[in-house]
Amino acid sequence: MHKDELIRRVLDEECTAEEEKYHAELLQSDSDYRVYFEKLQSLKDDLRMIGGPCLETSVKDSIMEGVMEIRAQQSRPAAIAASDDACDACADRFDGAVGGSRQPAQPALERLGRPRWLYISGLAASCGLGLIIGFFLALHAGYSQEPKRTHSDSLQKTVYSAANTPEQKEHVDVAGDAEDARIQTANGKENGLEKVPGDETTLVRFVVHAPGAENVMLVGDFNNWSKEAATMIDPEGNGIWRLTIPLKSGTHRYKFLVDGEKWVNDPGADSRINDGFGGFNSLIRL
Amino acid sequence: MEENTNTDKRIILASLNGHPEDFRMLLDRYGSRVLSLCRRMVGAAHDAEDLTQKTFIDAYTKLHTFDVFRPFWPWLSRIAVNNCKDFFKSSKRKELPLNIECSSQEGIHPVKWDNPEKSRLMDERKSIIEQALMKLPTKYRAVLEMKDIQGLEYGEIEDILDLPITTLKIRTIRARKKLERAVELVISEKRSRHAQR
Repeated sequence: MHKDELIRRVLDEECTAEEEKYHAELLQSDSDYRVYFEKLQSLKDDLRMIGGPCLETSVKDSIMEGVMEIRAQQSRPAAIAASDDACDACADRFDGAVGGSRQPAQPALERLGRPRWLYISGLAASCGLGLIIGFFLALHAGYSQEPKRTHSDSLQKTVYSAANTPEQKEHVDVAGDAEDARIQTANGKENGLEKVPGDETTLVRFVVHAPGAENVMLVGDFNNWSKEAATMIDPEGNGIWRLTIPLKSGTHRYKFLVDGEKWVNDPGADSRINDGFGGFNSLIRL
Repeated sequence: MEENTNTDKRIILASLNGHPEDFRMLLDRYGSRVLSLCRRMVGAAHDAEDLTQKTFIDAYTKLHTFDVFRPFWPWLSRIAVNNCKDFFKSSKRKELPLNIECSSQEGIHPVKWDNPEKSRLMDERKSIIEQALMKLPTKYRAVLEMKDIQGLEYGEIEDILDLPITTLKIRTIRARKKLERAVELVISEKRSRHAQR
């Protein structure tokens, strides 16, 4: 066996007993072999120690934003995608198309800035069942830092936390020319959830302004008040944390947990309810 | 290894079934290793970072094709290596220029030892090794990264690089030999610079 191959086998711990014996003999008898082997062994130890660069948190955040975008695109029903270009026309038809499910913009909702939203919907009611599909379109020019277009066509209600600072309040846009609408989703798969008749699910986007926070969790009855289940993200690093989750119809209680210790209510929530511990939970009704 | 595979499996299944945010855990587990691999292959930190991002985005896009009963790291590495190869193709470069000046401490987090002198010597040694590595052709750097730095088995490297094991073993022998010479060269260069002052 060539000595280079023997050294490789020793370093890679692949030797047979005979090879180890031969190696030991060479270490004793061949000084050049011994010196070379010791250099390579030392190098291998150095390489093991060298480690490597750490992936920065901001890079991980960017990757996760990409992941969420992909997930959103994967969630869109194929039939809806074709109607992307017709969204303006859809908006005009919206008033007539939707039955009793459309609701006016809720004055309690305050938006952070003026988002550009484009929602499409296109499912029609099936005969005999009277499924009602709404259409939501919100377009507004102005504030450049607002969240990008969201993914799901069935995104219905956007719950925003009002700004906590005077500067942020300047960007708040109450009502305005964008309209919120409540859309009842039809049966079908969405975000991996299988809906059953009578068990309608709504996608809700939660947003909270928490500058300087290192992590923000959404905690509520929908995740058994787990402090770890629903991690919000701040992809732009501007202190605006967000998370979109599907919620069943009904009333839900929730709060935001900032940096694992500070509980924050949602000023833009539908209402509040005593939490039994001297504080309040935010309520959302779907 | 089996425990890691089981944990990865749980994370992957959760990511695919309504909890995409769980993919973050795979980032935490493998992000630095992918970055290290890309750094070793392409050199520049910003290129390596871009390729790392692309690798994870590609991995998420293809996650539904991954066999959860197999180890995740070799599959992920393969995506990273292919992205690095495509990077070379698109930049019309086969190799890093061998005289590239690499900031060997860039992004590297040195281990702190209790003894400051020992710490300084260790950091210096690491710096020499990093500089020596950057003098090697990519194919040797890649195999040293996977075999000696990350400790992969030849079978795993075979899957990642799509090379037969016999070739990998020969390449490892040559890579270690070249690295040993490169280290001597770096030390010699440092001494000459020091002597000139």
